[in-house]
Amino acid sequence: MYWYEKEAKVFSSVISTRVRFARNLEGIPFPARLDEAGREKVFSEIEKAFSKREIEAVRFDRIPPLVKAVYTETRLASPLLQKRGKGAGLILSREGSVSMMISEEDHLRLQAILPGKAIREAASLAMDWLSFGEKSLNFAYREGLGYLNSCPTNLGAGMRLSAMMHLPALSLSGKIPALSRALSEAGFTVRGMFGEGSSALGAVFQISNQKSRLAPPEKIIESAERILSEVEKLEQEEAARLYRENKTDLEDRILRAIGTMRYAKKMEYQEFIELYSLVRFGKALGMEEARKIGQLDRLLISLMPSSMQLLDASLSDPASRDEARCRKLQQEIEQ
Amino acid sequence: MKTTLCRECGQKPASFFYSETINGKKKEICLCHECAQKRGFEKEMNPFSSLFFSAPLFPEAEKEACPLCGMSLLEIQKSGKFGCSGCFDAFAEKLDLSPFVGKGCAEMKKAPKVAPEKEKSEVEKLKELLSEAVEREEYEKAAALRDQIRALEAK
Repeated sequence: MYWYEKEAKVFSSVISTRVRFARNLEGIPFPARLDEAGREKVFSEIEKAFSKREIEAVRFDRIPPLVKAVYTETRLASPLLQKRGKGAGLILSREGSVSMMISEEDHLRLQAILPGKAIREAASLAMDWLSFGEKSLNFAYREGLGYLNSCPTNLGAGMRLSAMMHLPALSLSGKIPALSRALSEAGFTVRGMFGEGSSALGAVFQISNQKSRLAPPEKIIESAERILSEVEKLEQEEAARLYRENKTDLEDRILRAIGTMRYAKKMEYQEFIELYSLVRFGKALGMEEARKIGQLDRLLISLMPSSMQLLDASLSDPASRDEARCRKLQQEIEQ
Repeated sequence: MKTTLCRECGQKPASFFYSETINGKKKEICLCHECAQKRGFEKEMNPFSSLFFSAPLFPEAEKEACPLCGMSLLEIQKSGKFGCSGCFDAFAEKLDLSPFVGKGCAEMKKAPKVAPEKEKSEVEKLKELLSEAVEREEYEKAAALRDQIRALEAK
C-alpha cells in the first residue's frame, strides 16, 4: 500500500511526512548530461543493487502517459521525471513507503513517505534503504563537500525533509506570510501545495528545509522536529482563538461544507479541497459533526483527476469524474 | 499593518520570503508571486542561481570545461547546477560553495545512523493518551489528561 492509502494513527496538522535523499554514482555524468545508453546503465546498476529487496522497477518509457501522470500526482514521480525519457524511471518498495526516482535531477532520489507526523520513522526507513544500496553502489562524495548532487543545495547530506501540513487557522487569519518569514530564518520554506503562492488552496502547505548543509542527518531531523512542533502549536493556538471569537461563523461554514459533501451530485477537485479543508478544520476544533466524518486525507489523492481515471477508464472526461467524485466521497463518508 | 512590497517590481505585495546570512552579511529576498516564479524560486529548484548570477563571471569561463562531462564553468554559473562529480573537482575552488556547505559535512560519512525513536517525554505520552481518549469519547479522562499536560508544560 502506498503512503497515500494509509491513515495516520494520531490526528494532527501534519498530513504526511517525507524524507528524501539525493545521491549520484561516482564518475558518471549527472542525468542532464547523460545520454540514453548512460541512463540505462545507471538504472540497471541501481536496480541490481536493490534486487535482494522486495522491489518493483518501473521504466518510464514503457508505461502510458496516464500512469506517469498518476505517479506524479501521488508524489512518487515528478514532472521532470516524466520528461526524461528512456532510462529514467522509478524503483518502488513493494511495501509502499519507499520510492526511488532514477535519473530525475540526480541519479538516485530515494524517499520515504509516511502518513502523519513521522519524521524519525521516515528518516530511519530512508537511511536503512540508502545504506543497503551503498553496499554495492559507489556514491559520489568529497571531503568538505559531502555527497555530490547536481543542485548545490543538496550538498552535504543531500537530505530534504518535508511535511505536508494543514494550517486552516493560520491561513484564515492571514498569518502564513509571517510564518514563511519566520521559518526562512530557521532554514525552512513554506509552499502552498495546491494553488499559487501563499494563498494556498485548502490551506495545505509543504514545509521543507532549504538546504541540507546541516549534515549529519540527525541535526536536520532535530531542527525539523522542533519547527514542526512549533508550527503545530501556532496553528492550535490560532484555531482556538478563531473559534472563541467567531464560533457561529466557523461552525456555520463547516456544517455547510459537511452538508455539501453529503448531498452534492457533482464536484470539481478544487471544490473538494475547499470542503475537505473546512471539514478537517472542524475535526481539529473538536466539532461533533466533523468528527463523525472520519479521516479524509486518503481522498486528497484518490479523488485527483488522473488517479480516478486510472482506476476507471470510463472517467475520461471531467463531467463524469465530477459525478464519480461525489459517489466516492459519499461512500467514504458513510463508513 | 504594513504590507511588504516586492523588492523586484515594487508593485505587488510580497508573498515569498527568503533570508540568509553569509559571512555575517544578511541577505533578504522579498518577492511577489510573479517575480518569485520568474526567478525560479517557487519551483522545487535551486534558489541559488541568483547567487551565481551575481557572482562575477570568470574570464575564460566558457572555455574551461569539465573533463568528465564537458560542462563549462560558464554553464554552471548560469544554470546554478553541476554536471557531474568531475565538475566539483575541476571548479569547486573557483565557486564560492560556502553557503551550501556546513561544518558537519566532513563528518557525514562517519555519522552514525539516525537515533532510534527517542524515549518519549512524559508530555508526549500524555498527549497521545489524550488523543486516544478523545477518539473514544472519554471526555472526563481527556480533561484530566489535559490538566496534567498543562501542569507539566507550565514548568
